[in-house]
Order: sequence, then structure tokens, then C-alpha cells
Amino acid sequence: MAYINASTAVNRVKLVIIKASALAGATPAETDFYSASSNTTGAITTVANDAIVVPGLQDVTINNANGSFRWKQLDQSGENVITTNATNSLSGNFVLDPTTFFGAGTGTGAALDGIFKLSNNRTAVAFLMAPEGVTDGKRVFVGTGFISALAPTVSADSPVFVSPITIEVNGDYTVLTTAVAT
Amino acid sequence: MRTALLNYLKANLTGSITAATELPWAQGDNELYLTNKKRVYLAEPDTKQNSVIQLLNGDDIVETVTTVNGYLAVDAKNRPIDLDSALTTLRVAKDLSSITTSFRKEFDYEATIDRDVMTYTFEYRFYTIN
Repeated sequence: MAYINASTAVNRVKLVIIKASALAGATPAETDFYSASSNTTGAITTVANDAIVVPGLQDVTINNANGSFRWKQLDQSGENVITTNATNSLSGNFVLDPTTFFGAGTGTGAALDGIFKLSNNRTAVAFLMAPEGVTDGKRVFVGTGFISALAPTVSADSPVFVSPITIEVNGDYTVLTTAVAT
Repeated sequence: MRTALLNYLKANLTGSITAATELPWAQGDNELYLTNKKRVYLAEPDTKQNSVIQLLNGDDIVETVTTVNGYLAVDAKNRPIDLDSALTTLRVAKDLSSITTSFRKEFDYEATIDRDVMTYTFEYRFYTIN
């Protein structure tokens, strides 16, 4: 059985965020997030649209929870069901990096604003989530939504700020196959 | 960290108990701190790393624990009158302001008596995040 392997340096999980207003088309494409990546190292070498490659990810969960509508009929012993609109969200935890959390640089996009400002200003974002990296031929999830659920926490026993993060997805996920890497 | 501790101990152990700059080496079966009683000896620091936050990109947040062991032997029959103050000085040394990188500092010691020698074996532990 094959499995999605995120354990090697080349196949690390990546989460890339840009402002939704920076999208070239109606739906996100790989080139909206980066213009170059390496098949050798797996690294994103050139970001596009002042993207944030979220560092320090501890875990990621892709939530795709379909709703359901059930009804009973007198001629059947079991309930019938149809699924209704899904609630989609991307959630995880990450270690706060001051540059990407508070924003930095000379761009005009997400990296300048930082993750906190994108959340605080309720800026619409587009995301690319790569479960096994961005080398050629890998499947990635893209979509748009809003950042929420930030709750940076620190304690004496763990003196490094960590925070949950959720991207509330607007509509459906789209699954793309990567093709930019060389 | 051994240097910072040693400088503090040399400056503040000014009674009958003093600090030695040498390492606690042994000649044959004779430990230096047993030969030279009422001298505090600090060993070279040991370092151990633990991954405290594991990250998906492999760049884990690592905690480094630096341990400095020390030894002090005194006459068990005639307890030095300044032993208590010396032990206080040893304990206070862990809070040195010059050791700024640690988020947690610990010190403990145990005393053992072997015939007429009472040996204090103590340990400083400094925790830093890398």
C-alpha cells in the first residue's frame, strides 16, 4: 500500500497563504503562491504575491465535514440520507515566528501584513496546503477562506509561543497537481 | 557556564571553604576533592538535548540542558563552622545574573558520609531553548 509520506526533507508538509485579492483568476492556481520550487530539496525557492510559507507547523488537519439530511419512510426499516453542504476548514498548530506572525518586508501582500493582521483585519486569504511537499506531480489542496482561532500561548514550562490556527474555507477545496518544480 | 559559576564561587567563598579552579580529576583511586578537603571542585559541563516541540518541517524546537557537577568534601567529625553559609552560596550561584540564556535553573545536592569524610555532590542544571 502506498501512503502519503511527509517524513523526508523533500516531502515536508507546506502551508502557503496569500491575500485572496492577489489571485490571478477566479480560483487559486499553484503559480499564485510560488513561481519556483526545487525537486531536489523540496523547498519553495521563489514565492509569488508576497506569500507566507507558514513556518513551525506542528500538525495540520484537513476538515471536510459534509452536512446530512435524514428522513424516515414507512416502507423502509432504515433511515434515508443525503449529504448537504460541507463545512470545510484547515486547522493546525504552529510555533510563532515573529517575521511571519507580525509581518515584515517590503511587499504589499500577506507577508507584509503577517498572520495576526490577516486574522485581525478579517482579510480574505487563499491557501495552498501540500500534504507531501511541492515537488512535481504532488497533489495539493487550494482554496480561499479566512484565518481564525489564533490563540498564542506560552508557559513557564514551555517558553515558546505556540498557537492554533484555523482557515475557515469559503466553499470547496480544489485539488491540484503541482508542476512548477524543477 | 562553569566559568561563570567558578568566578562567582571564587569571589564569594571566602571562609575556610574555598573554590578550586582545577577540575575534579583523580590520581589512582584518590579523588582530588577527597585529598583537598574544604575545596569546591566543578567538573566540565555536560550537555543534553531534548526535542520539546516537534515540527513538520523537521526543525524541532530543542531544549538544551547543561549540567555542571561539583564536589566538596569536609571532615565529618569536625563540621566546618561556615559550611551552612558555603552551601547557601553554592545554591545562590545558580541564580547568577550573568547566565542570561536559561529559562529554568536548578540546583540540588546530596551528602554522603564515608568513614570520617562527608562529601557533598551537587549538580547545577541550566535549561535553554535553541
